[in-house]
Amino acid sequence: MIEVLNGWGFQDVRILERFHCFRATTKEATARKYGVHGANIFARKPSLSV
Amino acid sequence: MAIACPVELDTNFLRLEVSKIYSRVLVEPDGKFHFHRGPAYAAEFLGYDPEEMAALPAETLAAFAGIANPQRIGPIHAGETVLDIGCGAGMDLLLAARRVGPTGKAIGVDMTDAMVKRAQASADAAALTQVEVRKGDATALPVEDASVDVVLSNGVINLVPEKQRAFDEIVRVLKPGGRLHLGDILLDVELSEDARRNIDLWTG
Repeated sequence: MIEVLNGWGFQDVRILERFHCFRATTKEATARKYGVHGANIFARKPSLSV
Repeated sequence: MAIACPVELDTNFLRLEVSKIYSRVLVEPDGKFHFHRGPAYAAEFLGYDPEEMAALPAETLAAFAGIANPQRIGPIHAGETVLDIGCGAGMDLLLAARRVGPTGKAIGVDMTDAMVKRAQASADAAALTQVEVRKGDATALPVEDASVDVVLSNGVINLVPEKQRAFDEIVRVLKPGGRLHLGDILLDVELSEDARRNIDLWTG
């Protein structure tokens, strides 16, 4: 994701937090298999044009 | 995160499935789903502030189905313009609206009529006159160029098959120096082609 957002010209791209949002759901095993989790991500559009 | 989806994927069908599932959340928040909903989940799993949530209409909280917490990503200042892409019933939108205050603007965009109506009704019930909810799609945002200070989204971009267009739109609407507060799904494992064609996984 960081690479993707950098590729769009965003700056200061950071993953700030991760969440186990599928814990205790019927998709928990699938989420574990693929390493799926929720995340808080920050990015900033450059002050000049992207 | 895969930017392109398989060309064989029926993106219209995917959109319909996503709309159907999340519209059902609205009318049946206590129904059987493969993801969590509601304020208790938001507080316990994602760290939302129960006191802040208590100021919002109960129907808005009940239909919350986010997967992260964009409210914790960074400050949102009074007077700013915030855009919530895929605002759903409006929990993140209304929380952001309280931060920008009456001198700011909080724009919600959702592709389902029911969510647009619910989010706007919730904003009206909470007397948040700075909220405006528009029907639209992440790949064609009904928002002016370079007009937004903060784009936020919670669990929506992962559901959009045309991610390139969605990110192009985010860049278009953000002001220079504008911030993206993105709550979304990350994967530690590259998905197989079969998995990427699996509608059930997309909507999960």
